[in-house]
Amino acid sequence: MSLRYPFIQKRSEDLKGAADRIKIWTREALSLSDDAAVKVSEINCRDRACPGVETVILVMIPELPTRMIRIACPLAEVRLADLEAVL
Amino acid sequence: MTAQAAIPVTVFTGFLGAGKTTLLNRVLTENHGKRYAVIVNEFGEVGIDNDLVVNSDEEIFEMNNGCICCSVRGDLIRIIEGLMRRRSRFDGILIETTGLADPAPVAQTFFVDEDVRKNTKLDAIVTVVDAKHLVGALENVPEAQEQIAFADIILLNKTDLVEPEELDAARERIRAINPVATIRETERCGIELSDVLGRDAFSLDRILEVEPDFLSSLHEHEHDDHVSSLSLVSDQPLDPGKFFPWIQEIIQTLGTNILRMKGIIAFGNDPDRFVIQSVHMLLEGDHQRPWREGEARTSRLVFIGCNLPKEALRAGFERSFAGERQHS
Repeated sequence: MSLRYPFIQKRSEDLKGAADRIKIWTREALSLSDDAAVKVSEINCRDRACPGVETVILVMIPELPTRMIRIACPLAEVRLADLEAVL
Repeated sequence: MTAQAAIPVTVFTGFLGAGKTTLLNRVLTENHGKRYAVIVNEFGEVGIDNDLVVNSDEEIFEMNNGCICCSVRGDLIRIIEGLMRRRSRFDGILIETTGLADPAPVAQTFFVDEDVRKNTKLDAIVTVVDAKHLVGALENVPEAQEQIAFADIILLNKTDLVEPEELDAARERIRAINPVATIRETERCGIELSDVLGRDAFSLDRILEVEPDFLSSLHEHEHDDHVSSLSLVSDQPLDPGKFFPWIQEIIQTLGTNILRMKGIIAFGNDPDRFVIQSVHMLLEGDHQRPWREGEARTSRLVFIGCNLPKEALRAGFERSFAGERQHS
């Protein structure tokens, strides 16, 4: 008998591709230099008080406070228009 | 092209003055053949000064509306991003936190952020405590209990400054909070560095591998600590159809009151050990390896947390048994 793998959120290549795409969009939209870091994560918290699946983008520019951008949908479903709407 | 191996990250935490900078300096100055990048909270105390020693500002980000489970250390994300551009220059990363740091956002950073997950692996949380001042710190500094709770390895340091009975009391107090960490008793952090580095303590392959007989003794001594532990053991096979919904439900219900949880589970009709662990509500699990011929198929589950509803947890565990209850 083999059991399902119930907990770990597997990161597929599709998800990595989506994250890379969002990073490129963010860099272009904010005209970021190479010194800036852009981090993209899908947050799916088990806390019932938290909203559902969200995509969180952190824009880290040296010497500036980190900017957090949140989009209320799974990472793989983020479109350029979603990002533009919250920038 | 082969993928690069994840860089191991060791977190040094501990009370103010307990000796973690001494330990850090030993790693940085002794000849052990490994090169480390170091993230410190205060320049000037470490024994080397180069561009692989980076200052952190312990910046906490709440990724999801203030939820503690989704809090990460923004400074670590940023610093690790920068270090990865120089990854050929070091073999591992050491993070030194302040005596007042909450270890949870540090640990969660290594599970939540995609790039950090891809490039690094959390090797172990090492907590240095001062045998002389342990009891006072536990009573006066809330973070002290959590630093012990999250630890994989605890250095009970400055043992030369206490009487044997004080040391016994300190050991017992630590065990009541965290029954699964390895305790090493040291003077001036005198320990083989291989006992704190390269431990792979967060690997599912090594769940509860450390001190496997810890459950043979009971750690039921009552203290006023808000953090305590519960160990559940059974030779009765568990039913995955009951266990998985239960464990997910309690992780959700208890939320941030669970600091860490680890378990090895024997399911009926399953040839493999199933292992699980959580840091707060970040929960992962997988098959580990087949049960060996003649190996006792014993399920073991350890919760470390605040205000744990121990009887309810015990009852829920027993309701997950595949058949009739035999013993717990």
